[in-house]
Amino acid sequence: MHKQDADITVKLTQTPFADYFTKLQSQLAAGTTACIVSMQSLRLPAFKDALEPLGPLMKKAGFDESQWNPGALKALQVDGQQYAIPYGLSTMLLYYNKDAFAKAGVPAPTNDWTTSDFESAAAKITAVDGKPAFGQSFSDLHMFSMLFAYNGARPVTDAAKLDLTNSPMEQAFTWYSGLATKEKVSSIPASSSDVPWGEQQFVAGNVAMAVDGDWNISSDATQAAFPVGVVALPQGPNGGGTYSANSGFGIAKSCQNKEAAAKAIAIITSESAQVEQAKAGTHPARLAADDAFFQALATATDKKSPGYAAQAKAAMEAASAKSVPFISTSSWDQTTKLIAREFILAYSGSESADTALQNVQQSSK
Amino acid sequence: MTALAERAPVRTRDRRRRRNDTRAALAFLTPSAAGLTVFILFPSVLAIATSLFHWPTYGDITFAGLDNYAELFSARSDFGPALLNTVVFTLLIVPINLVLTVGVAFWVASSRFRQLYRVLFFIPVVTPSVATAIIWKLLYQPDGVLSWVAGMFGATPPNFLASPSSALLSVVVVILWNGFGYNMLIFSAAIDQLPEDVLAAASLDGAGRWRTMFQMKLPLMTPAIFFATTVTLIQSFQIFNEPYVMTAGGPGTSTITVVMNVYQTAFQSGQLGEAAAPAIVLFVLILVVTLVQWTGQKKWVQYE
Repeated sequence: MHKQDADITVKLTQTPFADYFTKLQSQLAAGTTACIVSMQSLRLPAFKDALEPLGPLMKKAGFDESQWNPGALKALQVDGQQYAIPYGLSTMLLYYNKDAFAKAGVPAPTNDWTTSDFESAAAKITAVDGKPAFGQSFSDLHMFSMLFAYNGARPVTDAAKLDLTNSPMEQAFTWYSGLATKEKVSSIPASSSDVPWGEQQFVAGNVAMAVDGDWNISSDATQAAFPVGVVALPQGPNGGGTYSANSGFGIAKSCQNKEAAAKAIAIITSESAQVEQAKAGTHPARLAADDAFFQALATATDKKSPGYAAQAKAAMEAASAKSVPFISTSSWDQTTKLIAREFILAYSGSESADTALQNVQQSSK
Repeated sequence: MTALAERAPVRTRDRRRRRNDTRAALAFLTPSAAGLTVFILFPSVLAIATSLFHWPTYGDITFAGLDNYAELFSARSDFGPALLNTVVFTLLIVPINLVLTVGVAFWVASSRFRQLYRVLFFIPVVTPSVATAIIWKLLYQPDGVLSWVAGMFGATPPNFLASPSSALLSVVVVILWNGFGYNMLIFSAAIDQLPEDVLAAASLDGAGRWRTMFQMKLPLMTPAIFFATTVTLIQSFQIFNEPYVMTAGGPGTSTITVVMNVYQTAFQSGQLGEAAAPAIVLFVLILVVTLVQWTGQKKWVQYE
């Protein structure tokens, strides 16, 4: 940064993702927030009042909308205002264990897989393996994207209000929890504190399929001890596609030097910066950095899983074509806490799916 | 006349010594008094004040009166179940912990390897509770060691942490395991200090083993038992780490505690005022229970 603009020096502070938004909240309370803050699209509604709308500032810093993936920009807007400049774009995908499919004699999934294809494959693999084929989750994106793909059910209205008791949602969630309670084809989190579950069980080789974001497209394939494949989420007859989400850089309202902050963001999201990031495994938000991303993915994975990078590209393109930014509410952290506590009761069969949804809806603020 | 003349300088010397004493006392007191004021008194007063305001982590702060306390009793508040669970945790942990630790302390005291056992039992106390909670969580998993052991005996184990009927008890086991060594060490020290001559006299008078235990040894240990009870009670009311790491309060509200409710309201929901209210209620609760214990101790604690 200092090399590119001698007037600006950026001091980097890092926090693990699990603690980041807690820390950001307490910094906002104490007035010690950094000028440039990292913001995730899901959390934006909760934090937008603390962030500066970027429109005029970024225009001054030379920002050109046409160079960006429109979905990536849209995910970080509220009421048409851009609050953060994305560094990536993520869609939710279905990862699968190629060996498990071959062993069960089930044809590999494709980008136009349907929900019933998914169910029958899961049943066959479960029967052959003797353990559940799919890894369930109550992490917002991992779970709600499957429900959205099932019948277009959405947990939050366009006006950013929580709406878990709508009828498509009840149907979709009954189906999803039924994968564990009725079909017995899915592994459920061991406790409410296991918010990431399916994707971890997948990489560990305990389940044959799981939903995960494309932010792990490289690491899931390199860490797993088996050949990994990836496709777009299986769609039901009224399936809505998949969810996208991303993170970007915003400017805190309390920042004393907003113009310099905007300049700094322009530099850290420049094309060359995005190419570097793409090489490191983050799917870039700038269109021009796309090629670098897939080349790097091929280098990292093709030796172990030949053809994986090409498959990943096709899966991400298919998913992106049908992706919708995931909208959350202003009290989303509280809701995700309730979801983990209540949904485990539905997954384990201690409570009906409808009751779990109602309980979260009623207790959310 | 002479007497007065002689006494005058003495009085000055006295006064000077007293002034010196006051200075010394102040010098010794200041560091701890300052620490107490800055780190305990001031935050406590601030917490009481915070509980009377709508105080979001950012945004406008407005006066709320007793609204935050009223909110504790609303249907969507976690406070009710949290308070109930905290009381259940306390009622389970305190008696089991005391009986176990007294028992094991006597057993260890009679062992040849008493020092080794004391060190072994104390290790969990000095291990960070978050680390032990994570390890226990792995033991409890459906494909974990405990399920495997249960399977060897042909039993179908419950999904320990996912089922509301077993989650709380599973957490209680971990808390007992974690805190066990501390009280055991206190009781071990008390056993080592039991007056040999009194016990010898009792034995000469024909007191049997059980009679010596219940009418001599245990009554002589009541100061240690009182101390351990008070500390364990206060710790149980403040349980947070183990359930937070192992179950995050779930399934449902079956393992949520008051301190977890405070933490989540403050840092997940971002409502500092609303979080301060249950903290104050917990403070009053602990204060009352401790006061009752202090007044009650005269009846059963025997200081030599």
